[in-house]
Amino acid sequence: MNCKELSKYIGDYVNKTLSSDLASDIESHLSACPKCAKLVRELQSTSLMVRSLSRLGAPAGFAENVRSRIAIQSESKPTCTSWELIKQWLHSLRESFRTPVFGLARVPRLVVVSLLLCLVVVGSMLVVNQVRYSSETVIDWAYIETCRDQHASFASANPLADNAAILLRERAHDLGGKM
Amino acid sequence: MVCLQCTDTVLVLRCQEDDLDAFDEIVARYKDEIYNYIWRMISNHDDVEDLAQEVFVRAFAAIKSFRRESNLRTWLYRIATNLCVDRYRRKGLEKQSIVPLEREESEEGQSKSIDLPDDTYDPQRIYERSELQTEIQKALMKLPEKQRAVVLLFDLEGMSYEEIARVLDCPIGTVKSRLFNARLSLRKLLRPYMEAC
Repeated sequence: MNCKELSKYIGDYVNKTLSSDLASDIESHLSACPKCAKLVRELQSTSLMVRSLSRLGAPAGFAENVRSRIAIQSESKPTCTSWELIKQWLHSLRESFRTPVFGLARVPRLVVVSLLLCLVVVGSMLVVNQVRYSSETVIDWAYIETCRDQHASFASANPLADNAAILLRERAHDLGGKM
Repeated sequence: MVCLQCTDTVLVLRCQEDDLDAFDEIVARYKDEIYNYIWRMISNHDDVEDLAQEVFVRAFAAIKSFRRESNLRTWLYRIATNLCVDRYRRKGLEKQSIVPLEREESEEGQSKSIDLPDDTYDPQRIYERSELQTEIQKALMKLPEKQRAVVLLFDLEGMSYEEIARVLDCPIGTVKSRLFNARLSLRKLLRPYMEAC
């Protein structure tokens, strides 16, 4: 390791967050480079100095003062406004979406609900179309039966006739007769 | 009822069910840490207790919206840090207490306003009189507040990079660079005292 490479890791080395392999590489460089060694020593000293600061504790009566401030705020706080109620409701809704669904811990419930909603909408559209089609189409089964019988008798009497042309002619005749 | 064995998560859940004793336990658990952190952040006797109390008052007001996956300790530190930063912005103390190092260096010799130690400094004497701590605190106060917060959270409160990133709501890389820059600044400010440490 050289000085330039060390500069990438020097912060982590001082903070002791490097792997032992990398740390030993740095230490071997520091033993050979007095300039880098001085910089590291000084940076470590700043850390030690901050760590040497004495810890100050909260004064006596601190917890009681906190509690009385909370009590004062609770008394002076107006009753829950409608906006706060909406916020609470939104929060509880958001929290409910975070809970696992079907064992999928990371899938928000919103996604599942949306998929179900899509399925319901698409399914209902298909059903509506089916009903519409079936209500608009009136099939005259008796007429179809008659045509089939006529065609069968004609085909047996004229086996070499062009079936398609005969059917068309028959169809035109039948439509003319109906009108 | 005080529950010394309860985890923070249990205490938060109890608070969310309006259990005031659980909140008292949270205050008892973290009051010293938060007080010390605020004291080191603003270094002003008059405001420290008020701000430290405000941390817990705000925490109580917002505890119902506290997310279960969050960490109570980092959340309290986050409230404390935001309060300290707000206080500086409101009172304009930042300009009074923090002097950029670049300006210090360029004005060295021209201005006597910078409180750097002179050559007659005696480390042993200062250490014995517990003035070294005052000098360290002075140096900390010369750092930008975000660098100061990172140094205090890492060195004094023993937090990891990840925890500090959560407290300050910034990437881990930013935490590392702020910490390194803070150390470089402290090195310049505290170099005359290093032998005493």
